[in-house]
Amino acid sequence: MTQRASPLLLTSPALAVIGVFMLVPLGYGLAYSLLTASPYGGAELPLSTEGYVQILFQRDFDDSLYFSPTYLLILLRSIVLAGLTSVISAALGLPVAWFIASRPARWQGALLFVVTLPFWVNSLVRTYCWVLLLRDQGLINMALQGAGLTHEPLPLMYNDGATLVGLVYNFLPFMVLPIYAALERLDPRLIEAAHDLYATRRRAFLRIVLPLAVPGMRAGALMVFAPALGYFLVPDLLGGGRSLMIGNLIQSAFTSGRNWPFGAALSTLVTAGVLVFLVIAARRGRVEATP
Amino acid sequence: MSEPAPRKPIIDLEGVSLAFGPVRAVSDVWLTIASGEFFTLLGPSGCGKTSLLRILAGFETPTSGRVRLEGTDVTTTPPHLRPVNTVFQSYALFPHMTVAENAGFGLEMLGWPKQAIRERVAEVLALVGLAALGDRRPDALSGGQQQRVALGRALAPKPRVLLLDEPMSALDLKLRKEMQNELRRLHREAGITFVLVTHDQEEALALSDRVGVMKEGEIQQIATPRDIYRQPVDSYVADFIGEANLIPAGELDREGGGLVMVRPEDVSLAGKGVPVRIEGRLLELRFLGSIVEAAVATPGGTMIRARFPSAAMEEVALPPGETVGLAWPDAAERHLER
Ligand SMILES: Nc1ncnc2c1ncn2[C@@H]1O[C@H](COP(=O)(O)OP(=O)(O)O)[C@@H](O)[C@H]1O
Ligand SMILES: [Mg+2]
Repeated sequence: MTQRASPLLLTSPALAVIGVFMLVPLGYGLAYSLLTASPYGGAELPLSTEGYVQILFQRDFDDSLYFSPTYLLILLRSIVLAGLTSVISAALGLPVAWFIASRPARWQGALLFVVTLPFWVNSLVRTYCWVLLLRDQGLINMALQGAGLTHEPLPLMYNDGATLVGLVYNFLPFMVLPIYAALERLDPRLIEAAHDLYATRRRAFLRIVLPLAVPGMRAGALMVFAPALGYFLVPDLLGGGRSLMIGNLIQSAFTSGRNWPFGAALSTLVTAGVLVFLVIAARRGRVEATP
Repeated sequence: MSEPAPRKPIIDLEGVSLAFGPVRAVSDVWLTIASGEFFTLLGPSGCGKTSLLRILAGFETPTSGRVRLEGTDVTTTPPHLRPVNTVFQSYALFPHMTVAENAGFGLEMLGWPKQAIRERVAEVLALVGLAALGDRRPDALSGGQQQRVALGRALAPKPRVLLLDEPMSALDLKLRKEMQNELRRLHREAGITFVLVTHDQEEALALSDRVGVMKEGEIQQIATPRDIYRQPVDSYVADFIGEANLIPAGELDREGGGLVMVRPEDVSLAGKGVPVRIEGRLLELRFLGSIVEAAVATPGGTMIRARFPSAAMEEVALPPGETVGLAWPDAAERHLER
């Protein structure tokens, strides 16, 4: 004999997980963003919108507000860098995913494991490896000078390019996996049919494989863009002070800046922005799925 | 044993074999198909039909032997350089393209101008009865409609040869009969060579100019449907095509061994004045409306089926267990070595 559990009971574990791990922290963030900064960190009453105001304005000595684009530019750089990371990851991820998906089935598992291998190593360690590669006395500059191609170290570090390289490197697997999932479902007969209808390999790829990989690329773009936007480790190590992203701003607001409401306001802004982006993307996905 | 091809040959297979590791999917096939012919490869599942078709399309390169298309050696020519199109068993329609885009794909790859593509696509969709559905996606079509798109897509570039791999196997019986008529019409109207693969002997007999019966990678016999039916080369072909009584020659007091094949519709219960070929015990007499079916066991243990018009039964009403004589005309029997 079985007893019917109520839907509420059945979904309660999922609801609890979502509640504890998602909504509570978000609620905390929202609450802190609306408080006043304490002098030694933390936040206290009264309620205030100062955290949000500080994103766009600075206070003069006479307490009057004036517009300051500093943080806005950092926000803009974050969006551009995260967007470029998505695009570059997609461009690199597609051939990688296609290569894996077109291997014999017994190799695919092993190749996917290789793609996810970096996940098993601490992100800090992995990013620091890039420092060793890119810095003035790093492997690349030493090799270039050793080969006589350059006479002084190229400035490979502490710029947006270095940050971009680090971001792409960190998030590429998030792009490869969903594209692979899309391509793995692709019926190989479709490619044969294209060849049968006089398509060369290149045109079969462009007309059949690429369009059918697009849903995977779109999913991958979301999975890369959202975390890349708020990442602080890579810009910190590879961008130095010159390629700050929103994540660095939030981090410093909570640590050295001792301005928790400002950090919380930035966090809330980023989260809200990503949510809007996700909703728009989901809407578009649904519209395209129903022709 | 192969008949001389009636018209100009378009496909020549010269000792073609294909092995997948230890599996010999196709083994030493010699076959000439004439231009404009409707040729069918018939055989049970796993006998190598698809493999042979894939060799013709260029998806597989034979392990040995040569393939000629209109006299040119195309053994190693890739599919996109062969004037041959395929209707796939699973249709393999492009899911992200409309029906019209699917049908126009081959033309686009051949570099036809846009206007010419539009005209040809309209023509082809009308030919397969889909003129109104050009803007649909394949997933919004029924199985039968998808089948027609696959046909239209393969016919659009006006290939020299159309290859069809069990195109009807996914359709229900009624639709299958309809599509068979369609295929005959398309073959007539398009005027190109059709090579069909099927495991359905009725389909093969109904549609083809000639049939090649395959067994374990080899072609056992190539002949017209009539000859395949009336004069099978061995018991495998006799048994695979229609129903066959295979009686050991010894039971009929013949010299030389082997088997004697008689079709059930040629066997009758021997009446007065008709010489009895063999006697046996009547096991069953089934009345099937216009015809009657009898099963008779010979003393040698062979089961013989007879099928005759029920009108012929009025005078003989026999209970099961009775000993009966069986008769058939000389022309109806065929001696098989194995
Ligand atoms: N790609 C392949 N790899 C290994 N064996 C195959 C492959 N394709 C077909 N075969 C084998 O070759 C034989 C013939 O297969 P196939 O041509 O598909 O037969 P049919 O179409 O008559 O059912 C079968 O034994 C099948 O298992
Ligand atoms: Mg097959």
